[in-house]
Amino acid sequence: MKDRDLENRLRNMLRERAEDITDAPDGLTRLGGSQAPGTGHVDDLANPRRRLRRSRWLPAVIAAAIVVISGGVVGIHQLVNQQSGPTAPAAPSAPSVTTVPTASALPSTRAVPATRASAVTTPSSTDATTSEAVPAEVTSFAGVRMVSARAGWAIAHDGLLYTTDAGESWSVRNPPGAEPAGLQAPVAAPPLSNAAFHGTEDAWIAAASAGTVTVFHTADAGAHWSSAAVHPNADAGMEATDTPMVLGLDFPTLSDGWLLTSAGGMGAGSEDVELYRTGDGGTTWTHIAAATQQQPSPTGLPDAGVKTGIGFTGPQQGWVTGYRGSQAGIWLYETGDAGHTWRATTPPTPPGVNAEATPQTFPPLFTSGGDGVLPVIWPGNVSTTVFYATADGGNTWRPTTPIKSADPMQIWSWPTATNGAAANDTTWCETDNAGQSWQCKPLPAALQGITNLDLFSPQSGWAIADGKLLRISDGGQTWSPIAPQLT
Amino acid sequence: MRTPEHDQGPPEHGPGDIAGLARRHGLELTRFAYVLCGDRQRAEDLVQDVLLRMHRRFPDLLPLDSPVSYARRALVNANVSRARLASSREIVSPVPDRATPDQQDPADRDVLWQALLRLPVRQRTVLVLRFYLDAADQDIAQMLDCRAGTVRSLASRALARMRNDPTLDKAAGNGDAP
Repeated sequence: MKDRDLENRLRNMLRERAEDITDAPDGLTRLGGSQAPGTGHVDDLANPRRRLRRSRWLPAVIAAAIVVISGGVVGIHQLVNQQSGPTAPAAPSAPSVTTVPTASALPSTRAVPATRASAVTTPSSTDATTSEAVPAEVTSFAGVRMVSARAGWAIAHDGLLYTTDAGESWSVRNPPGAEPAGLQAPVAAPPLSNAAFHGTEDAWIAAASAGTVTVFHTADAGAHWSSAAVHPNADAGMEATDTPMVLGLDFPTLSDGWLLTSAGGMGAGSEDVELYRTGDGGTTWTHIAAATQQQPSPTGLPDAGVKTGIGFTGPQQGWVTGYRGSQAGIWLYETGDAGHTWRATTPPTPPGVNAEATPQTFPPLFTSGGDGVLPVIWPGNVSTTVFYATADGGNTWRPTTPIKSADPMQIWSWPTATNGAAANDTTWCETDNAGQSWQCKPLPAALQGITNLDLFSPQSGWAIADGKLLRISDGGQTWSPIAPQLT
Repeated sequence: MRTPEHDQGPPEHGPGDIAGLARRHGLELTRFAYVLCGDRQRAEDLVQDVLLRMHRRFPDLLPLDSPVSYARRALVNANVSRARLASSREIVSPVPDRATPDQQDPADRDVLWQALLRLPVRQRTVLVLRFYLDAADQDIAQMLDCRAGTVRSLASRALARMRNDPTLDKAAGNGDAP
């Protein structure tokens, strides 16, 4: 086919395709982050036809905008329901759509404490939602995080799941009152980026609803949950009409945790965020920093920069990661006082990287002791992915050998300080020497459609591809699908 | 930059509000998002997200010379960002809407569409901007935060990849047959 012919056909095809949409879209699935039951499930994302159909979302947008402009505090979701005709009832908690790029995988492991704290009990502590005792196959896995060789958590169509038999069977452990869809991470964020885990039984998961983020905590693997709510928009002095987004939740210790939320305002290369801290395992949260266009943060955390997440290595030291939009240079902010003040830090750019490209940093992953990696991607004609390594808890970062590929690495997992793996749509790379060298090969066929990777050790791990759960067998050589049952 | 929809409504210049932008250009923006991401539902999500974020950022008036261009750029960035994320594969994976029986596309058009959607997102974006919006390389470079040379390179690689796409080749061969 000649170039000109191809170009003409492309031009015609695109315009014809666009004209397939002849009127205002009828699929209001998420507006301002509010979702109806049935939307936001991984099933729905993979199969948009399964979403609830609504009509005429544009009037709802317009009405919502007008009401917000006029100072109304009616939730956008309510407006949508009023404008959109028959719909399902509103979900009490659901993540919103975000355009914020975030890391494609979160830490595969974190040092597991030798002991765990006693269960947090608060007046809001209640029994977990029990699942029906009818075995069925788990469908539409979105994320998995193993916390021991046999115990682990997952997020799937039915919500938050827990296994004690290495993924063969799972039980639903949703916090009471939480819709399964509301427990999903924002759609553009990594699965389980709104969750943190410690040992085999402590877990936290954040769910967003209009004006509120609720952080649930369990100390007994989901049998009982307590909860605490924060109100990001109100804390920022903004209208509480939109659903905040959970950009990151991290608990480096059982008691110390941080919650990073987006207030919703995002422009070219900037994003409003708010940061909360708990020192009591999530029973109470304190608003410690806000960076908004209207209210620049005195803490040093800037509105400028699109944020991709947060990571802490202990009670004091942590990082907010992101990118600058159109500007070159690594965007990375560091705190040494638990998040009260922040300063920009710039790890050295490795040789051979296009210094004019806009790199994106992603939350650091800490494996044990002071060992960790900080993923940084320079997208471009040839993309470069670099895992900066630290052996001193993040005080210093040194670049390891870059991975160059047509498309950047999208998924990674580091089970130990020396063993790591990274993948994109076509390539699988692994290292056993802390990134000094990488062995890359075509992505194994079984992993086509990979969306999540969780290596528990170099020889054991789980992955999700096209919503299905896979496990490494043959000492790390073969990925095999498993058919987990819901118990 | 000319758009195929400019004939469908009055262009918007200068300060306006988000409601006006949505009313006058919602369809245009959704069409653009659709050819960017290949999925109607996801296109709607992108547009809704961008409009609401614009509203949050500019609650009163849009202090923009060209809010449509701003929104388009935001859509491009949102789509690229989503596609770059492993977890967002489900959002922008190259799986187009399945046409309903009464919307069945001609085979060749469908094959071309599928081939386009199989491209890496930045390559696909460059082709959409170039052939759908008729955007100049310099304009595309601004939207993608890269240099014009990178745009040309991305376009070249994208077209080469499409030329070598076996399904497209087959369809072209069929189409060329007398």
